[in-house]
Amino acid sequence: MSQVDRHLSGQASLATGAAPPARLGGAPSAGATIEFVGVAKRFWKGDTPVDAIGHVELVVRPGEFLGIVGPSGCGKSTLLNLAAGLMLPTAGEVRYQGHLVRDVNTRVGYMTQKDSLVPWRTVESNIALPLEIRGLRGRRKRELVAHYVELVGLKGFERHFPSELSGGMRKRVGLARTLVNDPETLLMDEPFGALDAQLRLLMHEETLRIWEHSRKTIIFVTHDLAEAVLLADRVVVISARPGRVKLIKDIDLPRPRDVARVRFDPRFGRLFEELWAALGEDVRRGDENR
Amino acid sequence: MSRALEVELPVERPGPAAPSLAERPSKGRRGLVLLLTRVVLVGAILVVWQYAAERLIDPFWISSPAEVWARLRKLAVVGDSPWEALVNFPSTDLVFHLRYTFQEMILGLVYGTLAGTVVGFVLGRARFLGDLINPLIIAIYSLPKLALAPLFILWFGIGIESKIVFSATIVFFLVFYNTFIGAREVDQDLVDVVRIFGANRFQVLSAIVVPSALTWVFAGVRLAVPYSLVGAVVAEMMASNRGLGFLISSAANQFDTGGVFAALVVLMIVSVSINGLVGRGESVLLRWKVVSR
Repeated sequence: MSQVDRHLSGQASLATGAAPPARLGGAPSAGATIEFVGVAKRFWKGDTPVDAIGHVELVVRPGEFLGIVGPSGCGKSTLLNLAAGLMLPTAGEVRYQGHLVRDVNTRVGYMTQKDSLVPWRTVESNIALPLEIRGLRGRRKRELVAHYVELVGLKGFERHFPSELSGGMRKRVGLARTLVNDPETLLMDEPFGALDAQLRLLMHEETLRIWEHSRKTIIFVTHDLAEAVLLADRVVVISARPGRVKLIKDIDLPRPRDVARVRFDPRFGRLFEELWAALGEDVRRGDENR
Repeated sequence: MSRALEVELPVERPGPAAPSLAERPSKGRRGLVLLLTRVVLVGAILVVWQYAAERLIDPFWISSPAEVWARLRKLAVVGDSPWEALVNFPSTDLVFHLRYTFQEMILGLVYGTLAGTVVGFVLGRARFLGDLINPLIIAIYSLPKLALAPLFILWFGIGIESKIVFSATIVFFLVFYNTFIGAREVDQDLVDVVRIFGANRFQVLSAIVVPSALTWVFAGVRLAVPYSLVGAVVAEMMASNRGLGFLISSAANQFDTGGVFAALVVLMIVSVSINGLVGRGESVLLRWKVVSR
């Protein structure tokens, strides 16, 4: 139990060595977990260029819960892919703890929009995957896996395969698999989009509890503005494609938050409206462009 | 620990293993009715066949169930009384032919699968090489394999070698093609996932690429098993003095229709059993592929 708790709070982490990994280069600059400096990203659809991200300047502070909202197709997921080092920017640079991200960023945990579970591995074996990659075996591995299976409420489903689970359950396996690796920073791309309202509430509670416990940095991409306001310290509104930072709003709702009640706080309503005004224009514009 | 635990989650729990969901309702009464109807149907066909052979068509062409049964008996057992038949089943003669065919089939399957897996994986991973050789492979693949048999007989003689090579060739292409595709179409998202977990090249291969390709290999082998039997039997029919294919062709050469049918019955029993076994193995190995509804 104590072992597991220590793991949860991020102190006994194996993933986060003291020295930065060799693949992160450049001069460190303190005070930011992730920096997007003049970042642009262009994709090619055959011969036509698609500018997913126009020009993004954004600093993610250590330990903060950052919500990112924007109309669909505005490059929100691209931002996370860049932070994870799965793709490189067309212009500008992405820095992680001051080091240029040049390759896959193994210091982050990334929950992609797709659940990306390994279909031939059972629930527990999927959750064990990051531990196996780190070379963790035996009792300690089993304990951690059991702990996270319980955490996401999948006890009794350990030996099921992803194809035997509902969409919501698969998401929770993905969450457990990301958390078991105890990353410093969590990138979450609409992680709870597929869940029903009740379950989402539970997962929000769980996410906040884990975050408050571990003080990880979390970047949370969502299309649900209320979800962003509910959870985040700051909410970033991204414009329609090509994505730019349109507005950054501090969410000054008190912590710890009760996810079931915070919606009824009058400040919640004001924040929501202000953000919606910024977001709404682009949602409509994005719609017309289609 | 977590509040999520105290809430009964609104999810349907699929049954254990849950193999073919479609088959489940047919168990019980419906299954019994089906079985009985099948028995009656087969019985009716046999009766009509027997009647036709006695009254309508010269048994030279269609033999008759009674004659086929007699030939089967002669092939499978030695002796006349039922007791002798039981003790002497299967006859050394039948075992001799069956063993020969099995040997060709299994060796063909093993060699073909090994070669198909290795070549498929290498060409699938080495993109340039794959693109280079792919058209050639497709060209050979689209060739009817039967057309290769005379060449193999020429090269490897009329002994067991040419049959093994022929069977292995058929198996090779089925397994190769599946492995090739499997090694190419590895889900990039899965690769990204393990890379973020810090996997090195070898770990990406062992955790994602190889298992992903292996599921395709299994699919190829599943497909190849019945064909390995086809390969062995067809090659035997072309040039051989033993095996199930030989039994068929030698009976046919002697205008022994009953003998042909008897050998076909044996072949049918063999292939149905093999397919049944493969199906069992598949449902165990590929349980994760079952989609629950």
